Formats: sequence, C-alpha cells, structure tokens
Amino acid sequence: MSTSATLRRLVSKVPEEPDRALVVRGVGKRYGDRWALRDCTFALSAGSVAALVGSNGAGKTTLLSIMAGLLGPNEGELSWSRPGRVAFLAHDRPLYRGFSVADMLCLGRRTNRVWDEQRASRWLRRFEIPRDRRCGTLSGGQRTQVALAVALGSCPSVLLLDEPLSNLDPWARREVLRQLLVEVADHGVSVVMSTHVVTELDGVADHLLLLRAGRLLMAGETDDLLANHVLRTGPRAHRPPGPGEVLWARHFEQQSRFLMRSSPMVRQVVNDPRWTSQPVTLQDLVLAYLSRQEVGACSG
Amino acid sequence: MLWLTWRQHRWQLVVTAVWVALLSVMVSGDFVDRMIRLPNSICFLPTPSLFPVTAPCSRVSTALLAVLPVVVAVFWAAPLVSREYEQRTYIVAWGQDVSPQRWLAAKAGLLVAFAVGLALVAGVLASPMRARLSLQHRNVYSRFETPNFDVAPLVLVVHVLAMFTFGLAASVILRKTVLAMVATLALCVVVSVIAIQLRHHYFSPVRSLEPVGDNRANYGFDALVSRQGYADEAGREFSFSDDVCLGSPDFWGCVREHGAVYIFTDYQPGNRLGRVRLIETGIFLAITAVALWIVRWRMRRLPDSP
Amino acid sequence: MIEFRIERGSGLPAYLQLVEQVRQALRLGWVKPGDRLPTVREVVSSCGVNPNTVLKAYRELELAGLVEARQGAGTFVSAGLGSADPAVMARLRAQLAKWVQGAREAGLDDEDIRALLSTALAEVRVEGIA
Repeated sequence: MSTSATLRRLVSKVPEEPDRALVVRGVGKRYGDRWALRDCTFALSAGSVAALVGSNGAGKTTLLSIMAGLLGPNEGELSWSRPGRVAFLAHDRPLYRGFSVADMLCLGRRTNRVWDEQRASRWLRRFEIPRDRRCGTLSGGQRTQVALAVALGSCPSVLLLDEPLSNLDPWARREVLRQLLVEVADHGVSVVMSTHVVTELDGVADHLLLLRAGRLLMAGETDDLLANHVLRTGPRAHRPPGPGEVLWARHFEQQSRFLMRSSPMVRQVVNDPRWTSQPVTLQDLVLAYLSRQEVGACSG
Repeated sequence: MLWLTWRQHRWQLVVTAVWVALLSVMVSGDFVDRMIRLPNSICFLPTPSLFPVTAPCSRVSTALLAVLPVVVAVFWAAPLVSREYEQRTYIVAWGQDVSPQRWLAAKAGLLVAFAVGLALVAGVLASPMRARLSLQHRNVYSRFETPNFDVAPLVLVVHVLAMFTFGLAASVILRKTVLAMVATLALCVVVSVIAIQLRHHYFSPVRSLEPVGDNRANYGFDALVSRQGYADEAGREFSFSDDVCLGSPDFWGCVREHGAVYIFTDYQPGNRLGRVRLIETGIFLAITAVALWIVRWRMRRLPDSP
Repeated sequence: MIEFRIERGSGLPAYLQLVEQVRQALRLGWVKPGDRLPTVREVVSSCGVNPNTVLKAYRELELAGLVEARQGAGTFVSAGLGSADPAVMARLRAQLAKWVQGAREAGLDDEDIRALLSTALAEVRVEGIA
C-alpha cells in the first residue's frame, strides 16, 4: 500500500461527528394510564434514512406524530439543531376530498414559504397521477403519491413517513424507495420511515429504530448494529464458545445455532474450528429482538 | 390563505351572498308595499296582533335577515375547525408553513369580514325602507321591536361578530362538526332570547294610560311595548280577564262596568332606541372578546390525541 | 462503466457488496486506472441504495488505495488490483495449491472445497469489520 494511502487510513480512523438534525431525549407519551411511548432517546443525523420498525401498536405512529409536532409529549424533549421544514406523511394520507390533485399542489404552493413545483410535478408524473382527479376518487396508493408530492414540494429538511409503502404495488414500493433515496442524494433530506417489511430496507436504511411496546430496543447505524451481532452454528451445545449475549438459540438433533451480540474485536479471540460464524441480516436481527421475552434496551 | 379560504368555502359564500341579496331587495324595495295592496298577494301572511299588520312581506324577510348571524355561526364557523379534526385534514392544513393559529386567524378573519360586509350591505339597504315604515305605520311598525331591531346595520354586524366567535369556540372545543353546530345553535338562541328580554330592562319603562275604548295608541314612533293591561280609575293595574265580555254587544262598556277604566301600557319610548342599540353593541362586543380569548387559548395547546 | 447490483437480505452489508463489485470490475478489466466511477446519485438512482452507503463504499475503496476522490470531478480509479506484490501472490498461490491437495487427499470433492472456502471467506469478513 502506498504511503499516502496508509496515511489516509490512519487519519480516517478519527470518528467523524455526524451532523445531527434532531436529538430526542426521554420522550414519553401517555393516554390515560397507558404509556404508548416511554423513555425514547435517540439522535437523527442529517441526510440519513432511518427505519422505524416495530409491531402494530408499538408506538411508531405516536413517535412520528410527536416528531412532526402534531402531538405533545408528556415527558422528555426534542431539540432540532437546524431550522428547516418537517413534512409528515400520515398513516391514512389525509387529503381534502373535494380538492383535485392540482388543487392540493396549489395548497402547497400557497401555504409554504418555499415551494418547488417542479419537484412535486415530477413525482406525480413518475407515478402517473392525473392532475385533474378529485382526491376523494383516488385509490390508497394514489393518495400516498399525492401526499408525498405535496410533502416533497415543500422542500423539507426532514421527512417523516408513516408506513409509506403500504397499499403500493411491488413496482411502486421499489420505485418510491428509489426516488426517496434520490431525493436524499439530491437535497440531503433526512428520512424517518416506519415499516413492517424489513427485507426491502437492506441498503436503504442506514439507521434503525426498533420499537417494542413503546420502548426503543435499538437505535443506531444499521452497519454497526449488524457488525455487533453474529450467527454461530456448531455441534449441539448449551451455549457457543466465546463471550457475548445469546439472543436466540435453535437446537436441532446434532446442531445448535445461536444469534449472539458481541463486539467483533472480542470475537477474533475464539477460534474453535467446529463453530462457524455468519453475518446476521437485518430481518434476523429485528425478529430476534422483537421476539425476546425480556425487553432490554441496546444502542449501536 | 385567501385562495384556500375561497376554495374551501366558495359555495357557502356564494349561496349566502345570493340569499342575503334577495332578502335585502325584498326588505328595501317599494314593491313590497305595493304588493300588499293586491288581493291574494303571495306576501299576505296572517299574524296575530291587536292591530292590523301591514307590510307582511317586509316582516318575514326582516326576520329571515335577522337570522343571518345564526346562519353564519352554525354553517360557517362551527364546522371550520371541527371538520378538519373529523376528516384529519388538520394534518395537511397545519403541516405546511402556516401555524394553526395563523391559519385560523386568516380563515376566520376572511370569513367573518365577508359576513360583516354582507350584514352591513343588507342593513344599510334596508334602513331607508324601515325608516319610512316607522313613519307611515308608527303604531304598527316599530324599529325597537324584534326582528326590526336586529336588522339595524350596527346591531346586525355585532351579532354576526359575536355569533361567529361562538361558532369558532364550539368548533375548537368540541372538534365534532354536528355537535359543534348544535351547540352553536343552542348558544345563539339562548343569547338572542336573553338579549331580546334585556332590551326591556336597560331603562325603566314609561307608563301611559288610555281610557278604555279610545283605541288611540299613544306611544310615539319606534316604541318597545313591554306590558299591557287594564287599570282602575286610580291608575292602579288590576288583573281582569276580558273573556267575560266577549259575548256582550258593547264590549268596551262591559269592560268599563267591571271596573277597568284605563288600558295601561309599559313601554320604552323611541328616543331611547339609539342608546339601547349602543348598549347591546357594547355587550356583544364584550362577549365576542371573551369567546375570542377562549378560541386563542384552546388553539395554543397541541391536541392530546392523534 | 460499472453496473452495480445489490442483493438484499444476503447478509452482506450493501457497502461491502459495492466494494466487491468495484474490485471485481477492476479484476476483470471492466474499469481501468483513470476511469471515473459512477457518481453517488447515479448509483442511488440505478440501484436504489442509500447515498451514505455509496459514500462509505467509495471511502473504503479510497482507503484501500484503489480509487481517489477529486473535488468536484468525481471518484476515479487510481490503481489496478493487480498491484499487489507479485512475490506475495506467488507465495499465496503455492500455499493454496498445497492446501487444495491436502483437502483432496482427505476426500473432499470440489463442492466441499468451495463450501469450506465460502465459510472461511464469510468468517474473515465478519470478524474483519471493525
């Protein structure tokens, strides 16, 4: 390796401070005596795509609503580091039923300080949404596209999406994800999207927020989270060699498989040839944490 | 916001404007008077009264005009915010760069300005006709009486202002359209009834005594009659049911025989009309301010549930 | 030009897949030193992958000395893969040949050997993430 490359490698080991767009500290929300969210703490980086994953009723919509400013938290605080617009796509994509699609864009144009008509129109054209149809006659997927067009046209710096891919056909799902990422690349928008389907987020989401029963089980960069977990397979045993916390275990006749959380540095010490290690997919990780009996918090 | 208000409310605004325009024409036009002279006029509506009623068309259209504030409150103001909550479109409306407070101020401001404009135009158009009626038919037409009192321009305008804010308050607090409309209607009716009653009590009434059978009403222009009854020769009122005299050939003689010498009338004379209008205006402006304060207070808090 | 393809759910992080595909392109001669790699936006648009992922991949390649980012112009290939020390390559090849012979003698066929090799590669990758 050349000297300059070595130097560059050494220099880049200094961790870069991510540009934080939002810091959420200890946020909690209560309905009556039921806590829908409790003690949620995480930070959102600028220009990142965060996946908010959790089962139904875990509190995803509540968290997004609080971040969008539509709900007030009972505890905790949110601090936005830079001024900018927050656009929210609600679960049911509310639109004015009597308005046409063009009227909705007009609404966006006239009530926002900054408005990019081209950006919104391009989105509508790409998904073939007719401009003169009444919003009340649109299908669920079309309403999603209109709501997204209005959200993007307002030039947001943060985009909060509540299950944006539901009621979209497979082509539209991929295309919406792709186009959202292009928006991130072009304009540096930070995206938080809640979803049920984790597999299609591989390579898309660089941050993961895992909610269960109102608490954040995981919050951090997906690459780091995945790096700290490993799948070990070997002869049937109570637990695999080496340090680390076992998240789940599957035992077969002569084989055992464990999903473990351990730092990669520590893992290098163990070298039992009977045991193999495999990287963990996002899907495996999410399922493992969501199905654990004890709920414990963990971050990146 | 101007475009948004127009786009969301254009039918309401147009229909109400047309309706008010028609009524104003009917109230202010000469043909009303001419029409009642025709036999079997469509405008003839029998109304119970001690004296024969003239200009019935004018009376009906005046009543309809006096109802404008309630209509505006129930159909424009009450659904304003509650509809957004019910259809969850508040997420769109307040998800742009306009804060909920500014959104409401702009929208409500535009709507109430339009309503006030309508009220002013209608009131001003109706004024000459009402003045003439008061002059020509002074024993029958009084501008102090309901609903004539309520269509004076100043009074109509403050009624619109106050009731619109009632509707806004109901809309913001109740967040359900039908409920807000019903509550607004109830509140408007209650306040109107109270206001009508209070007009008799701001000043102590003047009493006039007329000999029974005289049939000459003596209270002058634009009086507001509070009570009427029978009095004895000393001028003290006593209760006497004149049913017993209905059968006799000389009704008034029979009444006199029973000791009723005078008919007394407690009334507010017409020269107090201006002062009472101002008092009522002041009261309605005060309750408008209270209602507005409630609206502002409620709008400042974030909703507690999605 | 490189045509990237991300396999979702494969267990391999997307940025490493991109790194690997660039290395393969270099190996196979699809790109040569001096060629410009696709811009972040182009990769995002064609693959549907996160821009930070692309940046991370290009940074890895830069650290490995294979590419170089020029301000405002893009990312360019700076070195070929074959620039590893030929002596090292020869030694590794000899070691590998000996190992393959030992495996054949132990009774493994080609498929078994390939399976062992894949497992070893995956292990090293997982534990190499620091």
